[in-house]
Amino acid sequence: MSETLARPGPDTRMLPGGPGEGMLVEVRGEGDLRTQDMNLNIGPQHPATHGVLRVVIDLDGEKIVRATPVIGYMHRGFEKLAEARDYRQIIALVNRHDWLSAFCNELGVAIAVEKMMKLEVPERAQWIRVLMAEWNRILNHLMFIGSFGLELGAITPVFFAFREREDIQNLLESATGGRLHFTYNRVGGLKEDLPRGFLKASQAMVANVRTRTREYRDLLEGNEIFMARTKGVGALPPDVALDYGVSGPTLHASGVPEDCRVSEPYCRYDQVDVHVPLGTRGDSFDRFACLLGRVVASLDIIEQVLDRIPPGPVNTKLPKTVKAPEGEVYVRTENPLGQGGYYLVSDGKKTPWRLKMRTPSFSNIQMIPYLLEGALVPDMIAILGSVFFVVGDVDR
Amino acid sequence: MGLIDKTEVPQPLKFVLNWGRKYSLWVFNFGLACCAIEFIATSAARHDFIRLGVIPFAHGPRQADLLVVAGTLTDKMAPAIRRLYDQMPEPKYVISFGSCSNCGGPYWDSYSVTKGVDQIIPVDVYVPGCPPRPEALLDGIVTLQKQIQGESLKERYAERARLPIVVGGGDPTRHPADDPM
Amino acid sequence: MQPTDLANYLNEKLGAQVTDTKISYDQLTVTVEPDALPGAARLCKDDPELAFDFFDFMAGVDEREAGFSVVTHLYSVAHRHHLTLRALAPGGRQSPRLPTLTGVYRGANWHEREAYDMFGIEFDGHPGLLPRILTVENFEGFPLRKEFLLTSREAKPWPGAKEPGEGGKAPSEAEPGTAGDLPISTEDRAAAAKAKAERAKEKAAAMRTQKAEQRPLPEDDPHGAAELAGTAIAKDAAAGAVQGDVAAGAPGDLPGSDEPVDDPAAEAAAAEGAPPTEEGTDR
Repeated sequence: MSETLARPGPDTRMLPGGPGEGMLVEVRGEGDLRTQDMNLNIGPQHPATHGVLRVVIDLDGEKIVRATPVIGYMHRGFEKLAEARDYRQIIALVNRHDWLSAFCNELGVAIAVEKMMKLEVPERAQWIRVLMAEWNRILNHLMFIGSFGLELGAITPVFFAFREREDIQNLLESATGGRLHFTYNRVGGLKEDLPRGFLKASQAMVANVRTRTREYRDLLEGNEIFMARTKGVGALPPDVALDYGVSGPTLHASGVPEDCRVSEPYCRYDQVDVHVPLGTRGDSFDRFACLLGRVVASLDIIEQVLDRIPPGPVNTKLPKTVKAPEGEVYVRTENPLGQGGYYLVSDGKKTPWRLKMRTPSFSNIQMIPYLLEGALVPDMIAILGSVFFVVGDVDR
Repeated sequence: MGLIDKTEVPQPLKFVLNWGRKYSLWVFNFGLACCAIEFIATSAARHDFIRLGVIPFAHGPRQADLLVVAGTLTDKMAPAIRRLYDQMPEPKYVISFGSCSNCGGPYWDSYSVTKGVDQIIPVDVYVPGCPPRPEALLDGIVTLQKQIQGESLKERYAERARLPIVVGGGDPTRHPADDPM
Repeated sequence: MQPTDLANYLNEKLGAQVTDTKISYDQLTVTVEPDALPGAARLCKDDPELAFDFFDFMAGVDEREAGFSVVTHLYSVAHRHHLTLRALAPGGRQSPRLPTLTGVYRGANWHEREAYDMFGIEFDGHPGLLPRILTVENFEGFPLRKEFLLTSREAKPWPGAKEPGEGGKAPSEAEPGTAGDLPISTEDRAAAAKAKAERAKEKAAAMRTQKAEQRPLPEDDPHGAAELAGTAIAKDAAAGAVQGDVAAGAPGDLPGSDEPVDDPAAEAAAAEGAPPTEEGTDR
C-alpha cells in the first residue's frame, strides 16, 4: 500500500494524455488509503479452466492472496458405479474419467484384474498395449499443447494440434473402432488384433508427428511472449510436490524423475528405452517443455515397439464368469497426466467390493492453492493451464 | 421484437428472417466432459462447423443464441446451467450433445448425475452417441437449421410465455465460496 | 527394501502398534492401531531407511459390521518401495473417527475430505472437512457406504446384463425357474411368476385347512402360528408384504453355485412388485 506508482523525472515532458500525465500518485505510510480484498469467482463455466473447475480467489488488487478450488462439478460416482458392474463392464466405464487418455485408464483396470486372477497375458497383447498407450499419450499431450497456447493467446497451435489429433484418432479408430473412448482392452489382453496396414501407417504417422513437433517448438517454446509469460511463473519445489502426491510432467518439471514406466515397469516397458525429460525450475515453462519432451519420447518408444511385436494371440480365454479372488491389489500406471492407480478390493464375487481410482489430476489440483498464492491474475491463467488436468479425472 | 412475436408474419418475410437466424448461430461454449473434446474437434479444421454458420466465438451467454450442452450434467452443475440458459436472450436454441446430456448415458444409475439436461432446460435437438462423431454434430446442426427454417416466432414466444424466467437471486451477504450456486 | 524386510523393520520400530502385516501380490499392508496412525506416518516420512515422501492416496473401505477402515498408500521415490497403512476407524458404522494425517502429509487434506464425503469418516484435527468436496452441498447420506443403494437400479434393474452361456435370462433379475433359453420378456416372466405364486398360495391355504382339521395344536399356540411361520409359503407372503433390505439369498452368492436357483421367496416378491434382488452383488 505504501508504494510509489509513478514519478516523472525532471526532464520528462508532461504531455496531456501522455504517459506522465495524471500518474503522479504517491502513497506513503498506512492509514490514508484503504483497500478492500475482492473476491472473484472463476468458473465453473469459464473458457480458461479446462472444463468445470471453479476457483474462488481473494484478490488484493491484481495479486491473489488466497485461492480455493471447488471441485465436484463432474462427480459422477464412478467408484459406486464400479461396485455395481462386473469386471468386464467396468472397463467400458473407466475410460471416461480421464477422457483424453482412455486406453491408459482401461489398462490399469485390466492389469489389476489380471494380477488378481493371475492371468497370463499373451506377448503380442502386451506389446500392442505399449504401442496403443504411447499413441494415447501423444493424443493427450497434443490437446494440452494446443489448449495451453490458446489460453495464453496463441490461437494457431490449437488448430495444428487438432490436425494431428485427427490423424492419430483416424489411425486408432481403424484398430479400435472409437475416436475417444476406445474400450480396446479386455481382461486378459485386447479386444481383437490390429488391422492390416496398421503398423505401416503407424510408422508414417510417427515421422509426420515428429516433424510437426518441431513446429510446436518454434511456435510456442521458442516464442518470446510465451517465455515471458511462463518462465518463473508458478515454481513448484520438489519436496512440496511429493508431499501433495503430484506426478507426471508436473513432477518431472520440478526435477524428480519418478515415472512408473521406469521404476515399476508394466506391460513390456522394461524392454524399451523410456526417456523421461526433466525440468530444473519447476515453473510453467518447464512443465510445458516436459510435455513436449514426452511427446518426442513417446514417438521414440513407438518406433522401438513397431518392429518388436511378435505374432500370436491377443487375448486369453476367460472363464464364463470373471471373478477375482478375495484380496486386494494396487496397480499403478503412468497415465499421460501422471500416475494413475487402481486399488481393487475383491470379495470373490463378480463385481468388486471397492474400486478406488487414484487419479493424477486430483492430487495435482490440490497443490494449486500453493502455486497461486502471491501470483497475479494473468499468471493464474498460465499456472492453471500448465498444471495439466482433466476435470473428469479430478472428480471421477 | 414487438410485431414479430405477436402477429403471424407473411411467408416471404418469415423465410428471410428464419434464413438469417439459422445461418448465424453464435454458439456458447458449454463443454462439460468428453463430448466437449468432440465439440472442439468439430470446430477444428477437419470438420469445421463455421461453414454451416455456427460461430464458436460468443463472448458469453448474453451474446449467444445456441447452447450446445456437451457432457455429463451433474446435480451440482445443474443450477449453473439453468442460470446460464436464462441469461441467453430469445430466440435461443439448445442442442443436447452426447448420451449423458440426452438421458444420463452410461451414468444412468449414478447418485449425482442429472439424467438428461432436458430436466433442466428445454432441448431442441438431441444428438446421440458416446461420444457422437463430429459428423453427428454437423447432422444435428443441420437438423436444427431445418427446424429453425420452419419456425414461427409467434408460436415460439406464446409457448415460452408459459415458462417462468428466473434470473439470478441469492443472498448478497454470503461469501461466494460458500455459495452452492 | 523388499516387502518382508519392510514388514520386519516396521514391526521393530512400531512394536505393539502394528496389529497385522499382510503381504499379497508382492505388496505389503500394515494394519496399525487408529491412534498410532499419525505417528506411524511420521516415522515413514522421516526415517531415512523408509523415506516415504510420496503421498499416493488415502481411501476408505467398507468393512461390513466392523465399520470402516482407511487405507493410506505411500511410496518412496528414492528406495522405490511401497507401503499400505491400514487403520480400522473406531466408532463402528455410526460414527467412525480417525486422527488426521494433514500434519504429516499435505496431500492428505483432500483425500480425507473425500473419505468423509463418501463414507462419513471424521478426521480429528483436519482443517476443514466441510463443505463437501465432491457431492452437492446438501447431499444426504454417504454414497460409498454399502447401505446407500443406487435408486435407479432399485427402480429398474438393467435388463441387458447377460453372461456368456446364459440364455434369455438376465442375471440381474431373480430367475423364476422356467425353461430359460427362450427370450422371455420381463412382463411375461413376471406374469408367470405371479401366477405360480397364486397357485402356491392357494395350495398352501388348502394344505393349512387340511392340516388344521387333522392335527390338534399345542396348548400355548392355539392357532399353530409358530409352525406355520416356519414354512416357506408363509415366508413367501411375508416377503411380499415387507420390502425390507434383507437380501434373499440371490443365486450366485452361495459358494460353488453358478446355476440359477429356484427361489420362491424372491419370485413371489417380484410378482408382488417388489424390486428384484440383484444377483452377484453382496450388499
